[in-house]
Amino acid sequence: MRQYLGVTLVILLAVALIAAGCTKKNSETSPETAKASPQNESAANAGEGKVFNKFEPPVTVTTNRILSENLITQYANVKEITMENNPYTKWARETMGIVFKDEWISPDDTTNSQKLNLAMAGKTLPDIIYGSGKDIGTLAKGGQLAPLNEVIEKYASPLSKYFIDQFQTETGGAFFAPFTYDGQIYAFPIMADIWANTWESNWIREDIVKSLGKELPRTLGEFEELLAGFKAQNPEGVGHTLYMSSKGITGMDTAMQPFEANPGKWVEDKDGKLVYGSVQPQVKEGLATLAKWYANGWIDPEFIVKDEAKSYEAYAAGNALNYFGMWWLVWNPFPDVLKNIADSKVTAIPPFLMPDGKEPIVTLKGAYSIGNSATAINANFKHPEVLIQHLNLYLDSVLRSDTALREKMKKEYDYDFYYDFEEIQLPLNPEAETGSYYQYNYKNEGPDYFNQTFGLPNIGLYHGTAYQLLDQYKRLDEAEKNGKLGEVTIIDQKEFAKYQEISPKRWDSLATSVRVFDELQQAGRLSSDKYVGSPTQTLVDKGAYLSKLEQEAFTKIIMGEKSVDDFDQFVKEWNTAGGADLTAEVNEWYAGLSHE
Amino acid sequence: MHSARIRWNLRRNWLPYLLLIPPFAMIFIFLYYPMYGIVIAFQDYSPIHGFTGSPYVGLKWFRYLLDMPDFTTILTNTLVISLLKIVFGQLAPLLFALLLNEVRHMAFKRIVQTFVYLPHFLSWVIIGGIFIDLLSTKGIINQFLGLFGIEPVFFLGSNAWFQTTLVSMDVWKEFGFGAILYLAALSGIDPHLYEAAKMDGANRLQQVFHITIPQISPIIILLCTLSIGNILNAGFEQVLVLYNPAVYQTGDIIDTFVYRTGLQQAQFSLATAVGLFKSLVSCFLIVLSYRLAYRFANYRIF
Repeated sequence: MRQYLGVTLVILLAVALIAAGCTKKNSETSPETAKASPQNESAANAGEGKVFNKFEPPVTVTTNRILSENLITQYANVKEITMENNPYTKWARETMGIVFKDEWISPDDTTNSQKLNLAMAGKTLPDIIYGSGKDIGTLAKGGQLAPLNEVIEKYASPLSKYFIDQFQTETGGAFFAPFTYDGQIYAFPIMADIWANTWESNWIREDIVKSLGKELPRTLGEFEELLAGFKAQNPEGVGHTLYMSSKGITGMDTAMQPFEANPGKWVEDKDGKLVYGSVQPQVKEGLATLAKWYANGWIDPEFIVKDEAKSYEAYAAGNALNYFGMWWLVWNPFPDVLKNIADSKVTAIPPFLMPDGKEPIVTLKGAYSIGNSATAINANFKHPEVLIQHLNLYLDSVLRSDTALREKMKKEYDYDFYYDFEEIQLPLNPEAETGSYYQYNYKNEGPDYFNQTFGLPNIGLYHGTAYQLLDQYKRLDEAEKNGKLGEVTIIDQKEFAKYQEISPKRWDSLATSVRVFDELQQAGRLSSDKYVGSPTQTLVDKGAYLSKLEQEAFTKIIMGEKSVDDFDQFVKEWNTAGGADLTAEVNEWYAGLSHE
Repeated sequence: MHSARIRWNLRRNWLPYLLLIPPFAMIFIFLYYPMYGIVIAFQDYSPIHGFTGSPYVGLKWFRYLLDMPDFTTILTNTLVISLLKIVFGQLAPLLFALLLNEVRHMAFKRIVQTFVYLPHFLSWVIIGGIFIDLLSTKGIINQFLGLFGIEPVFFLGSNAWFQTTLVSMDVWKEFGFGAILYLAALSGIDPHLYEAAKMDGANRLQQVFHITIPQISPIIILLCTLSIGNILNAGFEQVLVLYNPAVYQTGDIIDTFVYRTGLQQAQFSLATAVGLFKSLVSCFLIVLSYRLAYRFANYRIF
């Protein structure tokens, strides 16, 4: 009897082990079929040169997507909407004859990268692949992706081409650059608001400035007076906020912009060649300024161990005077300080004047770079034009109510929209959040919100025009100034309402930021990081070491352990350690880029 | 002769052998079979081409590691931090176990033991976050030092203090758990030996030196030998959470360097090559220390 007990246990153990191994594997692949290519070949021609196309019989296209947990929970209670069955998938099946199937769904970028690596090894790549710039690079070099140049040329509608051109212009021809290898485009980045991803400025506590009896600073000198005054007022406070991020010391721009110094970015010198900002002489002055601020206690002495989240603490508690960061800080941490401190006012101010009194040129980060994610097409996929045809139809649906655009396209390109004009209906459910299921109620259903909600923006490729968000904010700013808030569209109203939550002063802060940007743009004093391509060989080999040299040198100079003259030593070392080679390679890449 | 004996053994004791099959299978499948993947240390590996398709590049990655300008600094840091952790990481639990062993009050003993080995189960991300606050210039430790009139020290930002801080934190985290083994060994010492020593007139301290330590010296040597195998693992997670550019000089270890390099592109080959390099060195050192232990302490593990 005892012996049989032992045997049973052994068998149970073995079975448990095998079961554990199996279940894990099954949850990786989709519960549906794991076949990659379309299962039904379309009998008819797959649409040579056709801009709109419907596959008969329907074609299955596999893809992967990134879907965060809260998106899934948002719709968990709405029974008629599931990931596989919602207005978007219905539209895709009926209008384009496409059924989208997931190879896998990941909650974030890192997991997606890992799954992509597994798929590469297991040869189970989806038809339409969404991945980070690094992943696309690996795939492209391994010959797994289809080049898109011809596909875009042949199948893009005038409307799609119009937007692609717009983004090319706005990025100086670098829209596809991060994903171009040997002149072939291998992935399509998401067209989304450029301003939203790149605009950073100084954010100063205007109420503190007023309490010191001063005006908003326009020069470094005035700012330093404020820092001194703030320190006297609040000895434990942080004058200017610096912190550490994956890119190194962040927040230095406040002291760098007045000298037109751009550490960490690649800028054009007077000969039109690209040089690395961190090794230019102007940075020395910026570092000297920061070292002075650190010595005076105007910078947190422990900034070196503070990450972004920790850096918010001082500002949110009201103990910091200035923070250099993105416009969306209005979402976090500013609401805390605006709500908790009665008279607080957070204002964006333009970069300080140069020593000679001139306005500096501001260099923002590149809108599209290797850091972005993009959509690529599997080299084995028989219908690469699906991506572009989908884009054509998608744009048509989303923009059908834009009369000005419709007229322009008709007049200049002789292009008729697929969808008839329709007014954007009032939301069926006014209580619903903006962008929810009930926002649009077209007679002829078409995608917009669902495509984005359920993580398929990678196929939609379009999130908005290059300045969609900025234009909306500018409209709202005008309307608010002129008291015409009641006349804006429902969508604009809802966006405005979002900024009234927690504290209505958030809108004021945002407005200041928009105005500063507008001014800079009108005056033509905006530029951007010019190097957005994939890492060159030297960057791959020596990048970590060069970055370490830079961070060590800057840290020691700011914290006062080394004198500012050490900067020249650093530049020499940087060049000999591979920086000079890197510069040559970057310029080679830059020369090969088509400048429009 | 032998085969008959084996068959007899199997027939009578087949159940334990059967029970061993699943673990052996698991070890083989997950630990030995994947060793084949070491080949990627000698290739320019890409997931697309796989093990067989990636180009062979010989010792390229090993040369890359050794050619790095700051390789000597990195290696020194790794060795220094590791050695300090091994030495103090063995001393502290030993001392603690000896002291705790003298305590008569059982409940107290158990409570202390539980509290002291709890930090072992926390991850470095949590402990790092806590200590960044504790060790800040306005934190508790500096305030305490201030009571004695000592200027606040930026522990995590100065090269002079960083290694000490790292080692101290690690010892604090692990000594409780490490002491468990020692305490078990201590409780296994024959009490008659103590009685005999007391009769001979030995005081407490002499008892410790002449009875306790010699009795548990096999365990001490064993643990030291095994730790030496870890010498090139200076505690990646801890360093990553706590280090910053101000302390790269003394805090950058092999693993953090490889981690940063891998952020540019997925450097599978480099990471594998470094791992292989570390394993080879560890293996050599373990064999060496095992031989030395046998030569000088006449002690064999196997």
